[in-house]
Amino acid sequence: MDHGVAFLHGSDASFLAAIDALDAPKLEGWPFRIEGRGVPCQPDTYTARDRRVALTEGISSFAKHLADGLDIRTGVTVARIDGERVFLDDGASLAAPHVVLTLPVDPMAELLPVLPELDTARTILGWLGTVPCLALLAAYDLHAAEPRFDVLYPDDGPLQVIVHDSSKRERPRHRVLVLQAGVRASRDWLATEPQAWQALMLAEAGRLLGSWAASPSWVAAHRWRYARFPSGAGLGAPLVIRLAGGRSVSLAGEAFDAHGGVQGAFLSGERLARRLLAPTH
Amino acid sequence: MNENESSLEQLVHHDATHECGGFGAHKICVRVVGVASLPTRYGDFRIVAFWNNRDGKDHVAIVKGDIVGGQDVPVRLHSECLTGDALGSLRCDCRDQLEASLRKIDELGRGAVLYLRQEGRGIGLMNKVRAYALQDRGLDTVDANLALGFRDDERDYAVAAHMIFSLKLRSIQLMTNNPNKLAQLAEHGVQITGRLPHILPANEHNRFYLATKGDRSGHLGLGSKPRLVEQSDRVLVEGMSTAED
Repeated sequence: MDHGVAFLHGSDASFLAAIDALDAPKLEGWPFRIEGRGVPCQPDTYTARDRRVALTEGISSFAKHLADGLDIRTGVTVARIDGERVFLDDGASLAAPHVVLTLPVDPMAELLPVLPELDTARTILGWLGTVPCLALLAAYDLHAAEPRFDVLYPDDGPLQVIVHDSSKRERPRHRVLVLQAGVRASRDWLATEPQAWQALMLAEAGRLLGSWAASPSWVAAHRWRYARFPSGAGLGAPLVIRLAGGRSVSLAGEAFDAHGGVQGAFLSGERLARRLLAPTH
Repeated sequence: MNENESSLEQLVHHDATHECGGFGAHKICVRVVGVASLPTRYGDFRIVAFWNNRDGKDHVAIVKGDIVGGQDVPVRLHSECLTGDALGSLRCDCRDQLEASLRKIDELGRGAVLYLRQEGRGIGLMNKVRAYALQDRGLDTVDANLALGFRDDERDYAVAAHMIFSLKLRSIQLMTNNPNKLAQLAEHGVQITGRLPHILPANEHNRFYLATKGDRSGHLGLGSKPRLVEQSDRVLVEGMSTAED
């Protein structure tokens, strides 16, 4: 089940090839039934040029596929970076003459080493930002009413989208909806107790879909403080800042592509990799 | 409708079903979709609107005289600059260049300005303003673009090359100081029979910008350092001779 990104979409050939290379069940063209007059977080999501693909094992399978073969360490926190080494919060450190940061821009700015060569990059990061998103996965008995949409963008109210997640699956065990609050509501509720905003989101689902939607069998809440980059305001390319001694710090991710989204993050990383691996580097 | 108007109008019919493999890395293909008269403060022109297959940007050609099928046609490639062209910004020389090229083409009696919708040297208006903000902090125009992750100049003239072929120009004289324009058009097979220098006096706000274009971007005749006059260049724009002397 997908709390966040519900499906992939894009038009770039290399991005689509990466999706095709993923050996996992796909639902080509999902969502099929789109309702509401609200605006998706990426307004160009439904242009004819973009291909849409849902992954029935979850969007995270795409990230896992891309990460296949990499040495990834989980469960550790990077405390700081000084341009030569990466220091972990357990006291260990790693030699890192080349560092690539692909975090949301706010924590990225916090981790950026304090070096004069990075002053301009720090200024640029100060112009960017990340918006939060509160998400609630709500599961219902299969006897509950079946929504006639795959995604609904409500005309008004605090919810940006309701995703009928179980419609991706042939034989779901539950009826599952994912409610995502809009930016304003997410900001307003971010500091409040999860029970409070869960109740508000379920009440809104009940208003929009019927009283059944306000009473799920179970829920799982997720609070993304740094959910996504505002669409359309990104830089045009990843940044590579050369430091003395042949070292470098690079910044990539959704904010470093003109169009953003998952495709933008992918393309940003691909462009950065090409630059870092170019013979002149 | 005179002969020139007639031949431009025929391009619309000719291009109505045009499809090709496209030009450049992005395989851009354009069609002439509309032609109309355009009286301006610089003279009477025809405006030719182009559709393209890559994005929603409507490029245009501002045409003087009978150029369809012509040789040695004076052509200026002008990249959109909202701040300069429309708002009269003095940070750049865009408006001066646009006005001078239209005046000169009107004076010559034939030619075309291709008005290309690639704002801010191809980085877009939003990022151009960000680049200005970095320039306000002391970076020059090249370093500001580089700091934002762009190349010095992101413009792609594949669309201009296709437009030149769509207008059936057999050869052109390019009004430019930018060697990159000459190189890109030549790569796309445009026959360039001459370069018409296009240098205008600087003002107090854009002097450093123009010097940077010369010193770091290789624009001919704009550097802060002395350059040899290119003997083969024919002077066309007012003030040119003093600028290069």
